[in-house]
Amino acid sequence: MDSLTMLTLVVGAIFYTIATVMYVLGILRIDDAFVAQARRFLLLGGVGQLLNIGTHCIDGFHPLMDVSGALNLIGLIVVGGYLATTIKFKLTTTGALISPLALVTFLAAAMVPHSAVEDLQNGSMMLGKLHLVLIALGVSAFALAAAISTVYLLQESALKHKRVALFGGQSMALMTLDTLARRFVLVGFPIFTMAVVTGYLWMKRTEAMAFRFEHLIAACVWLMFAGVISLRQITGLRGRKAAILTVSGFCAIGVILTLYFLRRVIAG
Amino acid sequence: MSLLVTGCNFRSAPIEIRETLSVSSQNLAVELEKLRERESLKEWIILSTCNRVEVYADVIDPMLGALGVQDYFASRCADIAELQRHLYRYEGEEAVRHLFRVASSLDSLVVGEAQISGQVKEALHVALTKGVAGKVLHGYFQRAFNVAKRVRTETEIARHHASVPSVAIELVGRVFENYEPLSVMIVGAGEMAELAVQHLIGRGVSRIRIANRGYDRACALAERVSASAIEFSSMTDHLSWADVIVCSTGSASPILTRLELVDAMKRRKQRPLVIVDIAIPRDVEAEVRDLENVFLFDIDDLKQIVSENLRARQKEAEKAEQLIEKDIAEFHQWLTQQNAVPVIRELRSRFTQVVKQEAERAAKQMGINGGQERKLFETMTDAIVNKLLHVPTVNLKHSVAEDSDEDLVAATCKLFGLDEPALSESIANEDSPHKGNHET
Repeated sequence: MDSLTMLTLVVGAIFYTIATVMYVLGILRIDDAFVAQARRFLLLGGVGQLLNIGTHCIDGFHPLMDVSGALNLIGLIVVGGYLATTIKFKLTTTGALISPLALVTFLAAAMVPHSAVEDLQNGSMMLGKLHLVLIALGVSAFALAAAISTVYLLQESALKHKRVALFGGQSMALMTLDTLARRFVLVGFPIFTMAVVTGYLWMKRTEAMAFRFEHLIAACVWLMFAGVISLRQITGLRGRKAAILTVSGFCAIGVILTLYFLRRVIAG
Repeated sequence: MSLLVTGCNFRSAPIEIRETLSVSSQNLAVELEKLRERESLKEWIILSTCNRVEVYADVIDPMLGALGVQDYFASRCADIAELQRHLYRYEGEEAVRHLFRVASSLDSLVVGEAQISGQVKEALHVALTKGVAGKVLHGYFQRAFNVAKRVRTETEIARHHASVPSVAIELVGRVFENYEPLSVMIVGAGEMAELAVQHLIGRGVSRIRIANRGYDRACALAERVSASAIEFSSMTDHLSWADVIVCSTGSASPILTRLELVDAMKRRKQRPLVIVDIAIPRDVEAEVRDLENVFLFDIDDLKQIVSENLRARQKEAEKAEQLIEKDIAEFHQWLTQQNAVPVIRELRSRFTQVVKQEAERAAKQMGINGGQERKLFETMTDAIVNKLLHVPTVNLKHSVAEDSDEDLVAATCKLFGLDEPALSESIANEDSPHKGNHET
């Protein structure tokens, strides 16, 4: 890793860390002014991550080439999507989940060595790139939905247990959180569907790629989110159950990404 | 500081005494006029609320002023001896502290309540209109409003709701972002139910149905609050319609069961439902709490939240007290500094006059009428005055600012034959450095 790449990595990671701390302090209401600062540091962290991607591009590794690039892209889209959403919605508590998530994807991307995904040289470059970009977008939307759903679960539990002082003034009403999470799932699901399809087609075209456990999990994730959307329409599934399903779906995605990460790191 | 406060509040006097002394808004102007006969009062304001009756006055002599106000109170109360036991009196800095605390709602029955600010402003307005309050009290009260505004913005004293109905409405807001599109069903038509309806209407709710065992009472309440009445027997049919249900009947047993609500939630397609049960005995079965997307709050829950909120307000009140103390210290320093300013101004004017006169005479004798030489003379006279007065000016300002030593001011006035400034004129000074947006 050259010095510029290292610099952007360190600076971006520091900003993400500070943003996380400030969001937590804002939630604990030590000083509400921390919340405004937290957004700024999150934005700066995103800029650092973007510059980091730029340095990789200069070195010949653009983000749609491998797992490292895809992880970086996911982190960046999640941060951008969150900040854009906060223009209209007060999602302080969600920020405390988004900033560490961005930090983790950033550091994970740095740890994964660059290697072109197998068989991109076999002429499946466009399909592979399409799959990666769709995965990045779909997973980012699900990440935002999961973060908001997590906040929903925490707030709902606090309200049910009469711990009213918690989160007071730092987040939206439960119905708004539920609606936002649903919208991100609705946005992410078709993208994720196309990602699964392109992934399947890519797998078919490249005989070198064998069926993996992650593919099975991806299918389960697809079914979970399809279930969330359908049941909402049919039976009115919403609130706590929908939030649990959304979070579970994203956790399953987390397992997939972790397997890809471990595989790349071990392969070196 | 020339401010005097005399009166009683909910801590110092029982309601019987406060009732006797209280002044309605219709009679306020008349009562203000009665204080005109009292000695030593230059300006005065009567503040009468359900928790206090106080007279704020700018006085010539604090002792005489206090006697005058007590005399006024005594004229309104048969048992003077009893009255004396319950009146308090604050002068000078203590009076300013009391005024600041009252305006900031720190002396209120519910700390952080919002009504007192408006009540104090109204009292000032009436007194100013009547012509019994002037620049001095206006200056003190405007300062109090500034402090109250700072207390509200720099602390969270007003943030947490402190009454059962307002807490209930806040809890509804934790589930639903907007109140306007909500459908609300009120079960019961008593006082608490009406209070809850008024709070909801205040938040923009317009779709309200009222159910009560006595249909007539439901209709009467519905008419008062522009809602619609429904038969009590058909209440369960409306459960799926309502987003918020407020129960406040006198029923001995629950009127809403878990089974009914399970069915209602199915019909509502699991849209969230908030139930506020302020009845004792409870109107809603406790098992309802466990239903998904149903948020049930009974009277104990609400009281617990109110008590937590009041504790939180008390903590913020401590911060507010520190803020007030700091402001009083700054205010006192500014007032004493103002004492020195007119003296310095007068001294400078005196010196300048003398030096200019002598310079004029010398210029005439030397035949200097204009031009460069004249200008030189004028520059010289200014320089003489500045140099002579530089050290006394600095010492005067320093002595009042750092040492609060007003004796030096008095000594300077005596030494040079100047008029001592009236302290009260300082507070009425238009050059107050803290003048700004005084309205909270």
